[in-house]
Amino acid sequence: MLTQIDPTSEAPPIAGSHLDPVPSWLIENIETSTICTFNKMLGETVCISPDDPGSEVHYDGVIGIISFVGDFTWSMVLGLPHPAAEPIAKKFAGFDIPFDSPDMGDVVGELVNVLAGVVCGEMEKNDLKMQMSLPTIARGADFQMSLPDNLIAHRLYFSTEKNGFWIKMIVAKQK
Amino acid sequence: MEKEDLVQLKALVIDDSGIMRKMVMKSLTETNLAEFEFTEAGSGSEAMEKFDPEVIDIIFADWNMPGMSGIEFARQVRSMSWANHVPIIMVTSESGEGKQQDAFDKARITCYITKPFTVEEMHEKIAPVIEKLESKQQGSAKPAPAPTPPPAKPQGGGFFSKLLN
Repeated sequence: MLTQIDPTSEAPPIAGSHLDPVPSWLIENIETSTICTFNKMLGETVCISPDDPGSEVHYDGVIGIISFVGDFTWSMVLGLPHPAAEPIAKKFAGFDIPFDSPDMGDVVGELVNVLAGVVCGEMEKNDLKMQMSLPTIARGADFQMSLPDNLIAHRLYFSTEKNGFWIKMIVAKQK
Repeated sequence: MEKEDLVQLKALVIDDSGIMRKMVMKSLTETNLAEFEFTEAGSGSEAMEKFDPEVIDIIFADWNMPGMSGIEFARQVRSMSWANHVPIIMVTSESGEGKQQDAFDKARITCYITKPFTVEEMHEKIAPVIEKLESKQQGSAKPAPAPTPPPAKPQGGGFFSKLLN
């Protein structure tokens, strides 16, 4: 069972950031939805871990992005670092998927799509209606995601038995 | 159940993700409910081209796809009087209850499966649908009536010759 959302609550400010924080109800929803969904999809225990902000600089891996529009507009990014991508894809699909193959893009698109569906369902239980986009995938080595000034982000890092991945929430700054 | 005892079904699997199509087909085979022969489509419009209601017994469709969505495909199939008997199973990540209700009300789908799913969940959801298809197939495959024997030639001295004479 996922936690109930309190749309009025706010997360503590992100360390080192003077920007408005990403709402804590969104962070809590993502945390619980990710753990439930990935536990089921991968068949292993997934838990939240301390983030390593440095890992995002010169990122090597594959990311899947989905945007949401409706009562609350935001985007979600799933990042699978290169070493984690193949084992996680194999756990999900049940067969080997090379990092450079088109199937890897399919898997990451499906992982972020399934998670987005669960997140939307949980939001709907709390009277927040949203439409989700189709996933967009990017893959490469030594790349960095830059955001426009009017957006803020919060990242959660999750670990599996042997690997890890992250989810980033991106929302517009509140005025 | 032995493979030869399983009902044979032609299934149309629609998903823009090739991996997801493979996973749906693998799960369906593992349910051991039927012997499936698959046709794949990557979008609603491609599915519309490949869909022949005389050939396809059951449809598995994703919701969100580029171009024609799965729900639009289902609506179109349901609007065709000659094709609306084919069961449509939505296999989608849209888990909200409102979406599910929409799919049943507006597109008159047969069954709704949310991703991620296990083989056991797939089995539980589609078993009643497969059962109906199986009994329908058995009903339409009644043994052909035995050929009418040729009329017996009148035998001399018998009832018929007496009658004819």
